[in-house]
Amino acid sequence: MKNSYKLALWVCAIVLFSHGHIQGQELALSKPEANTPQNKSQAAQSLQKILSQLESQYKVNFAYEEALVTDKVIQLPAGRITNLAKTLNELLNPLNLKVEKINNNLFLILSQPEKGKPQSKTNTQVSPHNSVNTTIIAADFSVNGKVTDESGTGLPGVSVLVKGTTLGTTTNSDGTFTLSVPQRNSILIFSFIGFSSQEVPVNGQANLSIQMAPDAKALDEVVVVGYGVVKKSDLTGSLSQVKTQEIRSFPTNNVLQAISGRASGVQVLQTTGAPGAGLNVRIRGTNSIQGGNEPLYVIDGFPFSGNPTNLNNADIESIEVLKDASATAIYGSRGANGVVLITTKQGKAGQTRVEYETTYSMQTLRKKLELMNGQEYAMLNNLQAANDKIALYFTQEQINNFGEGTDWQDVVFQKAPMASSSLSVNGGNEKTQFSVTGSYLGQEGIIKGSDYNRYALSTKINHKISDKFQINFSNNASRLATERKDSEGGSRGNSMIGAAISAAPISTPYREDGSYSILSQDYPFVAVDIRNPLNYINEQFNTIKANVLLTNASLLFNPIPELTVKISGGIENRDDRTDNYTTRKFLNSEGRASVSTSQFTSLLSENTISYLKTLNEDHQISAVAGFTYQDFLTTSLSGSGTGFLSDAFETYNLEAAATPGIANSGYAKSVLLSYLGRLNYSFNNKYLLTVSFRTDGSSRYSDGKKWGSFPSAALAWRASEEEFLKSSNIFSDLKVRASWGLTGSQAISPYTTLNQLSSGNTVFGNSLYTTFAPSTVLPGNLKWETTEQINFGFDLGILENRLYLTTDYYIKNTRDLLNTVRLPNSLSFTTTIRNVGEVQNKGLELGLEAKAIQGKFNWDLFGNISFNRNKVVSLNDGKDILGTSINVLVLSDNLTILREGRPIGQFWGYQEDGYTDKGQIKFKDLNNDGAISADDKTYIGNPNPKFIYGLNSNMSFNNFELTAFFQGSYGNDIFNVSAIPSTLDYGQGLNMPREVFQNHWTPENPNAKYPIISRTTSARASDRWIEDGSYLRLRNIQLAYNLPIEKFSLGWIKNAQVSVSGQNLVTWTKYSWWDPEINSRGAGIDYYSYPISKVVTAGIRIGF
Amino acid sequence: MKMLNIISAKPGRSLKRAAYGLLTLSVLFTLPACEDELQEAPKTVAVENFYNTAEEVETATNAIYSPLRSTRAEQIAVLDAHTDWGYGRGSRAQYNDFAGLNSGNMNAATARWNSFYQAIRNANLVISNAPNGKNINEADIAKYVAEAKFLRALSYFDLVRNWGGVPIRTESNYTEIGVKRSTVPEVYELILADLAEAEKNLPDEPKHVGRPTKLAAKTMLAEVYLTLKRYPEARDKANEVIKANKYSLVPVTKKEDFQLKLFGPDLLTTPEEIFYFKYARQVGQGNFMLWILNHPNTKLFNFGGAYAHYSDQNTPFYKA
Repeated sequence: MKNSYKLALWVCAIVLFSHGHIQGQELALSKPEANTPQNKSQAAQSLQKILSQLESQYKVNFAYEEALVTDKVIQLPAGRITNLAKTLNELLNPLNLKVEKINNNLFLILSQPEKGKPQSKTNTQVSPHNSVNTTIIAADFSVNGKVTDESGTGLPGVSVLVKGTTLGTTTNSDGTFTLSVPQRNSILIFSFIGFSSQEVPVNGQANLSIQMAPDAKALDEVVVVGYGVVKKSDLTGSLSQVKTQEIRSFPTNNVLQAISGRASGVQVLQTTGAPGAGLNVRIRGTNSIQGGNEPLYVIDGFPFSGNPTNLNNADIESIEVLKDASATAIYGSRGANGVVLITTKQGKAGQTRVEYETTYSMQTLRKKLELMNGQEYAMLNNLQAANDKIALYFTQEQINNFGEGTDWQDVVFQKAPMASSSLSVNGGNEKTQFSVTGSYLGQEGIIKGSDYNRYALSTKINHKISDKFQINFSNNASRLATERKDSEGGSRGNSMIGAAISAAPISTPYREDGSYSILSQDYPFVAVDIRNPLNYINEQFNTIKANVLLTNASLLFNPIPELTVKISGGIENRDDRTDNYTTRKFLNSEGRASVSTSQFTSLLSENTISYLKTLNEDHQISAVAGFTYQDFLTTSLSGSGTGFLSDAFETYNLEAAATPGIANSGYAKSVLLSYLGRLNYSFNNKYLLTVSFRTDGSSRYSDGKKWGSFPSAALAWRASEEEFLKSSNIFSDLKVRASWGLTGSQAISPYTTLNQLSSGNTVFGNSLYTTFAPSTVLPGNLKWETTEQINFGFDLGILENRLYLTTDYYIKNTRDLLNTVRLPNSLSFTTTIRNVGEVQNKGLELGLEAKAIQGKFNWDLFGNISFNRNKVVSLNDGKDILGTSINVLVLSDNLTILREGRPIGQFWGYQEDGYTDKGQIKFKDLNNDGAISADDKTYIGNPNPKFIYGLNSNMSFNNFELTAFFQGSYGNDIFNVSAIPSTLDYGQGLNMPREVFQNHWTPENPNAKYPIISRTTSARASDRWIEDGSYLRLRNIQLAYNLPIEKFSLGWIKNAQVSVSGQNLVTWTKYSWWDPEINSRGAGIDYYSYPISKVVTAGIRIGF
Repeated sequence: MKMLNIISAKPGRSLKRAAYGLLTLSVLFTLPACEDELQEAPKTVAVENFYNTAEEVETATNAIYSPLRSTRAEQIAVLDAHTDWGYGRGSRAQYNDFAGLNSGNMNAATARWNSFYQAIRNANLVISNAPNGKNINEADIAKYVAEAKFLRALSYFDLVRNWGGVPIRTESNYTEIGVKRSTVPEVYELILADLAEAEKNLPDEPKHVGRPTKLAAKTMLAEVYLTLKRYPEARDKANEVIKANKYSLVPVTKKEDFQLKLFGPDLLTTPEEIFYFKYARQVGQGNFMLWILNHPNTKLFNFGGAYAHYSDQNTPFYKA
């Protein structure tokens, strides 16, 4: 009985909010009529007529079964009705009817069940009072049931249809339905978007339980591509999709961390573990030497500047990674590094959905380095003194008293919490859909004092103005605040992280008077460089605040159904402010303050026309053409000062500085103009063709070289649509793809081609005077970098797509590389940029999805593996380019080389050859000239992995879900720069790994890991520092429980989930330092950097 | 061309008409003016449109000082560590037993080399462009060219004594990429020629304290002749400076006299100064030498110090 009311409600709701879910049901809502109601004549009237009057008078609608109201008469009270529902209920109750108010405009009229009268065996179809063609079929059997998804959650809105009739209904909010069927052996058809349709014979059962399986083919699934969407089945290019469930599976401070290991061909390189630290994303390898290698991020169609740090994971609906030229060429000069399309949440017609999610995490250092304790430290330094024949620093008695000493890692690192919450509301009707998401992420870092906070508010509204016009609006506003504690690198402990390892365990953080210990003064042999790390933690502040706004609006116009004209505009705005303050308590500081601000604005205008037409069923054409304008304006302002009377001023009173700095301001603007077009043609759904073209004009390039053209073409053949495969029971999908295209890279900053003079200052007397001179980079005559890519791939689905394999092979050649070319230093322009050189990336990507077990226990697997080989094909005159110069005092050298035939990032150094009989390191004299010189350097390691991989496993049983996600990298080397000062800079009083104490050269131990402990020991950039950086980590493991809400009879909660998870709980690696996922100075270089943490998370997700 | 505000349709007007209008307008506005939008207009000055007035040429001449001032401390510290009385500490210890360039000291040597040539390039820009200035008189041209040549000579004088024969870059070849190494006599020939012109055209009184004068050029000529062992010419030039009777030694009797009468932040100039680089207590404008030498505990210098160079081998560790 209750069900019939719910049914009616649902039917109405669905009719109101969407078309097409209900087939064969003739439904309409009462419509306002033209006649003016006459309130004065309150004679009894037909109920139907009165309702109709009320509709027009009170601007409301009534929905009811026609049979309920016919032949009924009521009398309205005089005067205006203040509470329509109440009044009507009073009037209708005697007639065994009741009124339900759905919203301010919609009322349902239902029969009153508690009257005890058995309900008439009428069909539960709701008929409009003014409908004339309704056929009422006398039904004779009532079926109840519940439709659930694979996890057992009730599915609302599933269409239930009696086969061969127009009878039907849809499930209500908890997935249940009631339907009267004409015959006991009727067959019901259940269908719902995204799920396979099912036919279920009733067979006389009054109660049915139906579990819907997701549509295995999901071929009608739509994916977002540049300037449009296509059906997944129509794709000709190479694309990886990561969906919201995966993005939200565990909290990350950057949404891109969530795609690591999820998409083949995509390498996410964590630079450091600092909260809010940057990420490097490489799609199909590294193309460019001079320019960036980051993909283009496009948020809701807006080509965004830089990383999408403004979004919280909860804002995102899906991420599509475009990889081959057929997919990326439509982005022309910005497509060479791949394109990442981010689609934020969008409202859907139907009942308003509210989702609340919160997580709380605890982060810890993955492992502590095993360093010497106080006693060992003193003994090692005494040993150095003995070896260098100077007086010993400590007596045996002192050594005996040192004990463990201070653990400086405990002084610097902490357990740190992270919390995230989001509340999202979305819904709408057929005309207007909306989505509002507010979210927060707060992360404290595992280094004391560091944190990251992000507040984001995303809004999206789509409104259909008429059949011909639609307007879309989206807005992301966010506030980022970062407190950085990332004083990294350095040597002899002159950075915070260096000091956390290098500080002497026999020193203490504080002196007896409560002031900070000055480590270099505790013992005379300790290097003057070393800092007490508490200086950085407590006395140096580096705060970055940013307000980011991304707003997009578009107007769509359909003059004819096939044609859509879209005019859109957008604004990206980013205001940054960085405050640095070093207090007077910091060693040797009288207070130093600096503030720098920058304002970035990008305006976008996009105008496209798209056309979609099917001719004679066989030929399907879709095309898009357009032109776009985007400009990029950056202005900046900064000021500084040194010498403050008090720390009270911080950075908010620069004018109080004893020595004010010079204010700086800057301006840079660039413009990109583009024309683009794409044509998709499909014949018989079997043969697919895509051609695209874009021409970009950029202000950044030299006159006459500003415009570049970027064409692409792709062909695909869906063999599974051919007759010989259509009948196959094994192959459910088989598609072969091939593509070719050109893309570009902008690679240079504005004004690089101009011969500008920059200003500076010099001193005469005691005053400042302005200077004007060129920089040391000679402007060049420059054009685009161009990347040519060919891609072959196939998609293969087996056994109803229970096994789905996607494979791609590609070759990418980047030519006209913008390269820094060294000039003779005596020219004073020490470098210039030229279009020289070529780089190649080729590789293979495999992605395999498997629905291993389906049913009550469900197990899905998704694995991917990507191989990429990178090599420098040519350089300017074949000349090597040395890179990554470091100076850690004990050695100063270049760590990498660019050389023809070798990969980008190639580690370059000396090979060791054991020790001399004095315990000094011997190096191989590779050129046999009797001396060790730079000519003896060779290839000592490669930071590029042989392959990267990810494996995700989702298991569900009843209300439980278990997810395990593994991610790894194999065959990549790490240049451990941290180890250079920390294991070889002897005689400076630095603390070192215990291994150095235990395993160094002595006449008795000539094959030790470390050389003689002596000031005279010298180091070179040698293979000693290269370590295997391969790792496999359990990126995430999560156990979730979906609360059985239906048992609690909490109608207002739709779903609720509690979960516990762990991130990076287990890491298998041989890397000796904190963590292998570090790329602080370019790929594979670890240089006293902020380590990545492991995390334990608890979360709750509730839907209303 | 400015982009259209695409949602500017006024209420009351037909949206449809507005959309048609906007579409047409945006097509019309965007298409023609493209190339203009792609012209870069930085808010700075460029080589091609500078050096036209005395003020512009003076700021270009000032730019010769910056690299020389910033490298001066390093130059002194490195050379001093090579001597028998000076010792580098820490990263500078390697200069004590200097035996030619190696990968450890190469970067520091490159930085000094680059600074000298940066000064030379900036001097060449003045020497080459100032005479073509549209709004500058002959006297000013002569004065600034003389100042540039004085500083160019000073740079080559350091270069030739550090590295022997070096590539000579003058206003006639400063944009050429490949220039061969010249011999030591060729470098000195240029130095003498430059100083001769400086001696002729530099003013008697400097416009600012820290700019060279005629007597500064004569003094340097004396030093160059002395280096070349051309003693009579050295004597004559030195004598001209002495006879001008402008300079005298500052009497020093105690340590504080060095700090307050000869150097020190509050001292603008002294009768001892013939040509000095000037530094100030401004961020980025201080004398790096103080940082290299100073032990932070002296509290004499508000930027701390590295104490990376010392001259007393017996007590290498500073005691407060």
